[in-house]
Amino acid sequence: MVGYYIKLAWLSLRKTPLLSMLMIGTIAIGIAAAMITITVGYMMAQDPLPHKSDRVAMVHLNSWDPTQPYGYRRNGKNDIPSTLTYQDAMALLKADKADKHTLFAQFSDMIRTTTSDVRDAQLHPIRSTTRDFFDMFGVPFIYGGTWSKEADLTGEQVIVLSKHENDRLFDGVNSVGKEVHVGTLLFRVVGVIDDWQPTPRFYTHRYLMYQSTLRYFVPLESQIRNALFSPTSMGFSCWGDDPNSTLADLLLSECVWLHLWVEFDSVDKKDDYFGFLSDYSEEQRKVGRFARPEPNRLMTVPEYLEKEGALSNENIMGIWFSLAFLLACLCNVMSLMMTKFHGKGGEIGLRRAVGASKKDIIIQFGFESIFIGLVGGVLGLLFAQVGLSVLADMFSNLHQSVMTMDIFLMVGTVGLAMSTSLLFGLWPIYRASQIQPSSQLKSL
Amino acid sequence: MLQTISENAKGYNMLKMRGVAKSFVTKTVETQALQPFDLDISQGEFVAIVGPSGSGKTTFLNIAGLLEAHSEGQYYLDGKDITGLSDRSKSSLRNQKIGFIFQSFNLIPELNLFDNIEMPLRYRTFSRKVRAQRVMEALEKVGLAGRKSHYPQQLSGGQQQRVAIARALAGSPSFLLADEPTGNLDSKMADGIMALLKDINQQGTSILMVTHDMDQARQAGRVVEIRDGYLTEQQLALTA
Repeated sequence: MVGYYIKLAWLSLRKTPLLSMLMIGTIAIGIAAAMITITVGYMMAQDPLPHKSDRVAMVHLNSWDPTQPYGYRRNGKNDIPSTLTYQDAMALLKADKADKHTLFAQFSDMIRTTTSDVRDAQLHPIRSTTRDFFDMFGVPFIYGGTWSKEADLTGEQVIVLSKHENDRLFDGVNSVGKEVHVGTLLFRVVGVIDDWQPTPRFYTHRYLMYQSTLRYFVPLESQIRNALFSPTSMGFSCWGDDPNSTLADLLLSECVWLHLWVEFDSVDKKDDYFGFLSDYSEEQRKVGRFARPEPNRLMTVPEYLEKEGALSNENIMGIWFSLAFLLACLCNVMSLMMTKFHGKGGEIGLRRAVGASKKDIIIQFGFESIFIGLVGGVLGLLFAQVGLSVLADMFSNLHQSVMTMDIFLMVGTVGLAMSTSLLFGLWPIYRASQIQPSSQLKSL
Repeated sequence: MLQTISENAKGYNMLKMRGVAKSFVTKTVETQALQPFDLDISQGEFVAIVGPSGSGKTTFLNIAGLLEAHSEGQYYLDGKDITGLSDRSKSSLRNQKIGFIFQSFNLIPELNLFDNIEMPLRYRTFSRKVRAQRVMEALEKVGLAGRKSHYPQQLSGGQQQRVAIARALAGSPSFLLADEPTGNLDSKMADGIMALLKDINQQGTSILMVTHDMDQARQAGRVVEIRDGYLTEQQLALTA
C-alpha cells in the first residue's frame, strides 16, 4: 500500500499544481531560513574534540595587575587572562605535571622557498608551538610528522606546512627534508598536514575561532632563540612599566601571550593538576606575584568555548527567530492543506463508500503531507545551500566550514520538513477523515 | 405507524430492516426524514426505489449503504446486525458486500480505468495478481476490456457509467446500490446501462436502484415508493 499512497500523493500534487507549489515553496522557504541559522549555530557549537574534550584543558593563571582586573566577563565578573607570561608557561612546562603539554604563540614573517626570488616571499602568520600540538588537537599529517623532543628543547629550525602551502610552494609533492626561508633563516620541512579546520578553532581567542587555521608551524623555542618578534601579530597584553620592545623584553615581562593547553589520560587527573596550579600560585604570591583575588582556571574545551561565548546570544536569537518564521510558514501550509483536503471531499466520500475506513483516509493524506514535506525539504535544502554560499561570500573572514552543512544536517533538513509537514497536516487530515461521505458523493 | 413491506420478499434476506427510521436533529428542530419501516430484500432481487425529490430516497440509500447511521430500528445486512458497528467494521462491510453506482459516475479523473476499478480492491488484502484479474473480469463484463489505460475524460457518459459499474462489481458484492444510474445519460445510453444492470441481476446480484424514471422502475422486479418519508410497496404492471 505504501507505493499506492505515494502514487496517490504524486497524482494529487499534479492535480492542483498552483496549490502544491505554494505549499512546497512555503515549506522550502521556511526550512531554508531555519536551516541556514541552525547550520551556522550548529557548526559553531560543535565539540571540536569529541573524544577527549573533557580531558584537554586550558590553563588560565591570574598573574595580572594587582591594581585593576584584566577585564570583565559577560556576566560582569572580573576576568583573568587566558594566556600566560613566558616565565609561568615555562615553569609549568618544566614541571611536566600533565600527560601532554601544548604551548603556543604566533608571529609573522616572510616565507619563500630556497629556489624562489626574494620578491616572491609572502608574509604569513606562523604558529610557534611545541610538538604535542598536532597530537593533542588531532591534526592529520599527509607527509612526515611532528618534530622531535630535542627540537623543542634546542629550538631546531624545522617547520610543518599545511597542505595548501605545500601545494603552493612544492606543487604538492612530499617536501619533507626540503627547506624554506622564514625571514632570513632556513627551516627544514619535517611534516605536511592535511586540510584541517576544527570548527570552532577552539584553542584560540573567541574572535579567531571561526577563521582559518595557520599554515606554518615551528618550534616555539626556535622563535625564541632566533628572536623572531612581530609585535603587531603576536597578540600580547601587558601591564606595569616593563619594557617590551624586543622579544627578550617580552620574555622577562609580566606580559601574557602564550597559550598553554594540557591533556590528561583520565579526567581524574584534572583535579590534581588544578591543585598543582594552586600550589604554584601560592609560591608566586610568596615572591610578590599573583596578588589578585580571582582564582586560576583550568578550563576544558566545552568550558572554554562557553566562557568565550563561541555560540553568541545573537546566534541563539537568530535560531529562535528563524524557527518562529518556520512556524509561520507551517501555519500557512496548514491553511493551504485545509483548502486542498476540503476540495477532495468528493474523492474522500467515494473512497469511504467503496470501503476505505477513516484510518485509511488518514494514512492516505498523511502520506501526501509527508510527500509535500519531502519535496519542500529537498527544495529547502537547495535554498539553504544557496543562502549559505551567499553568507560565506558576505562573511569571508569566517571559515567556510561554519557555512557548510554536514550529512547529519542535510538529512535533518529533509527530516524536519517531512515531520513538520505531517505535524501541521494532522488537523487538516483529521478534518478530512471526518467528512460525511454521503454529503460529498454528488460533488466529485 | 410502522410500515411493513416484506410480502414480496422471498428466499434468503440479503437486507432486513426492522423499525428503521431516520431523523435529523438540530438545536431548534427535529426533522423526520424516514418514518419507521420494515423492509426485506432477498438475494437476487432487483428493487427500484421511486418517489419525488426530497422524499427521502437518497437518505434511504445512504442508510442501506452504511454511509449514514439510522436513528432507530434494526438493520441486518447479509444476516449481520450493523447497529453499533465501528467505522472500520462498517467500512469493511461496505467494501465486501456493497457496490455503489452513482448518478455522476464518481470516477477519479487522474486515475485510469484500471486504477479506478481497482480502488475498492486496494482496501482488501488481495495480491496484485488477484486485483488485476478481478479488474479485467469486471472490465470484460461491461465491455471495456480494451480500454483499461484510458482516462475517464476520454470516454462517453455511458462508458463512464459502465466503468463505475465495473468498479462496483470488482469486489463481488452481495448487492448493488444505484443512485439514479441513468440520470446523466441520454435515453440510448440509459437503455444500455439498464440492460447491463438487468444482466448483472440475472447473474444473481441483488440491486437496489433509486430512479425518477417509472419506465426503468417497471423493469425492476419490485418497486418501493418513498413519499414524505413513508415507504410503500407499489403494485405496478411489470413489463420487463
